[in-house]
Amino acid sequence: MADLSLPKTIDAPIWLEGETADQISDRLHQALNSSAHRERWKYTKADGILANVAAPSIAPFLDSTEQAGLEITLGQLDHALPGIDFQQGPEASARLCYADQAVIIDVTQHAPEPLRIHHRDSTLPVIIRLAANSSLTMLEIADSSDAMQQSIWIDLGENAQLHHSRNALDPCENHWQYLNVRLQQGANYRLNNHVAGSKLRRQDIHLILDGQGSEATLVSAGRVRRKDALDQQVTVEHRQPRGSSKQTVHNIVADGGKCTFNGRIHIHEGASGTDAQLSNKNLGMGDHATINTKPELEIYTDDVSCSHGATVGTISQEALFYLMSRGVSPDTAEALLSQGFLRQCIDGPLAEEALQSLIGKAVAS
Amino acid sequence: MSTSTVDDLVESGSEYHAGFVTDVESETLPPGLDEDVVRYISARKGEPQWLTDWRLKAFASWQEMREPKWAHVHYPPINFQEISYYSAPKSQTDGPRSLDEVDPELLRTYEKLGIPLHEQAALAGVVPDPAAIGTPAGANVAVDVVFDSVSIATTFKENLAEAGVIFCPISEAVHSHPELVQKYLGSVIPQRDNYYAALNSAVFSDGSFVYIPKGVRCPMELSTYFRINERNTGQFERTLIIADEGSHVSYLEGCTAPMRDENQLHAAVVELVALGDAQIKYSTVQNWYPGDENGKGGIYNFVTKRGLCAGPRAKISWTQVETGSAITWKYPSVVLRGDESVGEFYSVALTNNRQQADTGTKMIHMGKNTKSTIVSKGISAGGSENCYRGLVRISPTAQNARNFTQCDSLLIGDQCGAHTFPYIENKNNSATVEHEASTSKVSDDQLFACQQRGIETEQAVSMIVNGFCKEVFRELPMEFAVEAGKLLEVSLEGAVG
Amino acid sequence: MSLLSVSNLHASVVTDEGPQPILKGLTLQVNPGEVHAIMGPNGSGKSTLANVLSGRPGYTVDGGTAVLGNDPLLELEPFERAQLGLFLAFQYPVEIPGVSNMEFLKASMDSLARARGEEQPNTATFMKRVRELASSLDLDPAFLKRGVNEGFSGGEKKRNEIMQLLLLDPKLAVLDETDSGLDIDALQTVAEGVNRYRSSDNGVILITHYQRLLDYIVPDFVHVLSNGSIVQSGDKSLALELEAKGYAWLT
Repeated sequence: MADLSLPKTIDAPIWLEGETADQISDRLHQALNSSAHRERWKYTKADGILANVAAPSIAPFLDSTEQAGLEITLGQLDHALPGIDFQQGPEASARLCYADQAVIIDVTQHAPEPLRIHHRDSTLPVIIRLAANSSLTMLEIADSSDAMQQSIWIDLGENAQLHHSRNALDPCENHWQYLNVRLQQGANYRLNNHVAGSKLRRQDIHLILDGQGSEATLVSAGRVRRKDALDQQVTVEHRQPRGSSKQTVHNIVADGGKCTFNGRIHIHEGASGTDAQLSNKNLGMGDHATINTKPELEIYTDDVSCSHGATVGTISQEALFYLMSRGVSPDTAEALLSQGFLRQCIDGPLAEEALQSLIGKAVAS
Repeated sequence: MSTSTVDDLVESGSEYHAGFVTDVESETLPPGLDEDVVRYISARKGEPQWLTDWRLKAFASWQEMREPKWAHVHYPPINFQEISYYSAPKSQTDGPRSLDEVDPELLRTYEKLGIPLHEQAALAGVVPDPAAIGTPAGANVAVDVVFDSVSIATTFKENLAEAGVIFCPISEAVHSHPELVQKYLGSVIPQRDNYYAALNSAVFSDGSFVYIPKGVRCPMELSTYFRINERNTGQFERTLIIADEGSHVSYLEGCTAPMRDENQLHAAVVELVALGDAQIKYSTVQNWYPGDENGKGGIYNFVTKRGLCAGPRAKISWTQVETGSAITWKYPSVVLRGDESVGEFYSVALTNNRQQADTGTKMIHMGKNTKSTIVSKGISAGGSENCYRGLVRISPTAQNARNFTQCDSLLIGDQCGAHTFPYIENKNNSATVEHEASTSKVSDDQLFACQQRGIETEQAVSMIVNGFCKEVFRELPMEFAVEAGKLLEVSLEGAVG
Repeated sequence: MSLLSVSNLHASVVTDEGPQPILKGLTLQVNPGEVHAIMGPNGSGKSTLANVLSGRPGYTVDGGTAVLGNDPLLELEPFERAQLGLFLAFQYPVEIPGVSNMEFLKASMDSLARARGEEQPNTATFMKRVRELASSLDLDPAFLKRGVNEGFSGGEKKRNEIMQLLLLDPKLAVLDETDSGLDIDALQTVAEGVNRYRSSDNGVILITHYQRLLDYIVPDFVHVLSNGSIVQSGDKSLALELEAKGYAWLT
């Protein structure tokens, strides 16, 4: 297996104090090719995405920026965020190194209006810092038919709250989204993720519960149509006691589509009283859909409540019969049930559009 | 007065009852591995040319291969040149003879381990010694005994022969049934399958061979008992079981080794072939020396086990109770090629102190309406690491395949790790795959509640652990089930009571 | 003309060990306006009859006929049977998370209307009707937005079945142990619903283990099913006799 490598040499960014460009490059190269990391590219070719990590980026379009509690600057990141993780996210870290600028959003108090972030291209890294006790609703939309990449780092201070809704519904040549969220004590993060498969669409999500009693929720609905692909890699790390995380991920995969889900829950030593749950359900429609799923647990402390489940299957025959016994034809019944399956994971302020895109078309077919 | 807590219990050490050394004179090849060693082993066993060539081909492959690194285990690099690849008690150098001629010192070893080598004694039922725990001591069991690199005795051969069942050391089968060995050896696990399988294919010394003819239900349980005795030797046994159409067989495997400070390598290969409507049930109670409480010594158990359901409605069932070894790296698997064939994997893996286990299964569904069930129970105590790794693959041809996986971890103490890596790969959407996993612990609260009702800690933990493993124990043949429970108790001594 | 005519019906349930014959020559005729109670010990084939009539997968018909009006049922798909006017109230109503009760009912109403060549009811009228029915059965109208039977108690599920019965107004209703697991209040509510449904045009088959339900829904006929066929038929008094003596004297 050939080594994975970055498209060009890296200049040492200022937020990485005391390391030379060579040292950084070595570190990234080593992380990219570690067996744990290669594992994350088991079912999707990394080359196409790696080739674009140094591609020029523009700032995303932002709405509702002029409001109390928000300070937005375009500039250089001057010091590293604790969530930046070379080992687990070398591609994203490389993007951050290549970018000469980042969009830095500081949330200082409760922001009354939802902040809208719209990506129509590869965008500059976005850093969002929520001060203690601040709160924000964030709507993120990605739509472009070209290759594009986005990467976001979010740091939630003590008792900060973020409700994040994200839609990536349009077909795209080659799309990669990286999201890293670190939660401090008592912080609360919720992500409603709605996604359609594309020629290639990959989402890396890394949630770090780094303060006591923090809480993270991930709800995701995905639909992979014929010939499309979707690869979701989720890591939830519990580093501190009494955190709770819940993931519910439903994906429907059509004939000829390919869907990969890797959900890893890592509970560190000392993170006692952790409650971590993951449920991944996949519905295959037609004979030639490919579904790979791997719900992983890595647990280093005994006082945890942790469970995960994954299913791959077709529509419940029992439910189908129930509908048919009420006179509903098999086609309509199937459509209703598959919509119901996805709808369970569609919620939040961007739900309307997601329903339209992920379910509306299904009824017609 | 104080009540003991989980923490206190983790402190003390456990005991290993099979850790003695047998003092016999052995003929042991000096450490080192090259083509000459491979040729020597082959010549020593008087093998035909095809098998010598087969071994050499495996050796050539092994030299090109690299040690697998993906497992969740850590150990210093193994120097394969420091291992001796052949060791046999001198008294046995002429190959297996009748029971009456077996060196009495060896017989005493097995008596001490509770293995019924005397058929009389076996029939009468031997009272098991504590050391016998984890060994097939039941009444109606035929045993093949492998001591370091050679098979020293096989009991009940004649009785089995009456039913047409062939049960003998594989070194003997090479001569007595060459056509079967040549046809099936490496048919499920090719020489190049993986690093350790390639090594085994090059240097395998002995092991058991079983053939059950068409339509025959094997009249008794078959079993092999593996013993590593000599210092600095590796054990590379090879087992091949063929169940012809419509036949049934239940096979048990037990293992122990002396307590030594060095790590010793055990790299076995087990191949099972079940033809149409045949059923093979393979049970293992693995009690290799796990090393001491600081992780010194113990067996590296790097084993490749795989069964092929070659024909329709064939069934292969693996049941394992893994309590020993410093490191376990083992994935008994089933290839479900025949339509409506069935694969099962029931596993209890217990790690204590510094033990590491990376174990699980692969269920490869190829035939229509194939069904597999995986039940894995991992118990981690002390500072150990216990990992389930599994693959369920549904090929495009596997219409209506079904899998159910349940994967539970029990943690005892907060210094251990429990991990789950289940891979599900589905390319046929008429299939249904379900995976569930949960994690629980033996808590101080539970222990206190039991103590408060007058149940001693040891007993309380044993109850909790046994309850946790119940679904797997009930798959074991009766003789084994009780002993498996006892073995868990012994292995948890120190961790929990 | 009879509403339902079942003649010499043989059927098996499919198990891992192969087909298991359950119904062994069952004959039954239901005329418009009649309520037939079918009683019998566990395993006698009561639920199998309901499942075979409605076409649940997992059963095979080995012989005999079942005709609803003029239409032979046994070759038809489950939804076609429903469209002809056969309704099964499930013993264990199915939960379907993500599909709301409202959606479910609308899909059903629309299909039935289409099959009858009628216009689909307009949404406002339909909603109004559903709300009325729901409140008459003590179902919180908020349930309409929730997933089908999702998080319902046992009693709510059964009342939901009766609500569907009243809404869809079929020709023949087969109630499969609708009384099981209900307390006395819920039982009365369910019985009232069924009595409301009863008319001179339709028919009811009540499958039950206990005669309790028959205090509230008075049957015209009581049949005892044993070992796959009807061994005794009578009127309401037979049910009382069964309650007093048990089933043993019949078999």
